[in-house]
Amino acid sequence: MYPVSDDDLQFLESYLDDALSDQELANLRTRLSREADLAAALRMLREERSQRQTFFQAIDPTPKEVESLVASIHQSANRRRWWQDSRRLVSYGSALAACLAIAAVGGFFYHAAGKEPLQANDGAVSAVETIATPVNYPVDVTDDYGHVIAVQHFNNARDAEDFARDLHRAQDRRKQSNGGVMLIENHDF
Amino acid sequence: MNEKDDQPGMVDDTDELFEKAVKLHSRRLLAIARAVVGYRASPEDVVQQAVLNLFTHRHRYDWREPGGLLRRAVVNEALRILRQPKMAVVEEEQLPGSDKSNRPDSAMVNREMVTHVRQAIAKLPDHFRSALVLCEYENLSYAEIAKTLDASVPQVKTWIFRARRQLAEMLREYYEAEKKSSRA
Repeated sequence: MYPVSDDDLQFLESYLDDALSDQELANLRTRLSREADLAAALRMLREERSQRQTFFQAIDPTPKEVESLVASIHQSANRRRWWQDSRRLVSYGSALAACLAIAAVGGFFYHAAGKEPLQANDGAVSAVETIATPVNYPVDVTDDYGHVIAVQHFNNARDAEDFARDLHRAQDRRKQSNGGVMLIENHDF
Repeated sequence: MNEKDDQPGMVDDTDELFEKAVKLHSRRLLAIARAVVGYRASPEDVVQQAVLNLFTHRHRYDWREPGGLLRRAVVNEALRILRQPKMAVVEEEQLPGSDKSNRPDSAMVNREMVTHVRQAIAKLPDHFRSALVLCEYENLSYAEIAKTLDASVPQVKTWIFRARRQLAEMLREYYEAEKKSSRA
């Protein structure tokens, strides 16, 4: 079909594609002036190329077709832009709502814990209660030399005062008896 | 993400550049899509889908020189559609070049030849056809075609060469018959 090799054909195609270097171009021109077959092949390739160009001219769209396409793209782009914006607003709104919900739930639990003790299902007092009601009145029990030998705890101040007063009285009485002081046990003579 | 993404409702510079790019390149993009998908899909849909895909992530791209970006997107979308197993075939009558009345240069175009060339080009492997269209319609260099098709330059040269040889083979009968009829 072609009077030249595939390599030469590819070389000629590269020439028609304007893809040869200056050196290759000079080399090809020299060969074209000497080799008739190469020149004939180049003419054939040019003819084929012009045939293909008729197709490429035919697929060029008309201004009306281009206008219609641009309008369609513009419309779709606007729709997509609106959708993207809406989606962004919805996501912002959702994030805000989530924050509010978390704050509300957290606040509810915080206040609930401050007001009432939480009861477990089996009726056991929860840890919240033990922390929330630690009322304690300690009374030191000392020996004769004033050293603390025990601490007695009371839940209210009145019991603690009574205990301390009784303890003090008992210790005074013991001191008096140890010192040979006569104790008045009863004043009914 | 670009800061502009955080400003809902705003038509910014990127959007303006996008609109300009679409207006400027639509004609060539549509022609490329027509040549690549042939009868097998709607070229308008191919261009629209490719461009809208870019629009969705428009802030990621540089729209000051969008020719290569748009071309690459359209070719890739066309090839993606051609890879799908089932496609609606576009009727030949709906393709450009068929309606002579709309074209002022229709007298210069041999309709029968165009049909034959189109049919022959449609039979080429997808990558051969894409490379040939970018080379002969877009007049891109081998390096630019390689970048568009994500291939090497030698690979692209081979594809184009084989596409031309296969086309020549397919069209030879037609050319010879035409020559005989013109002589007679």
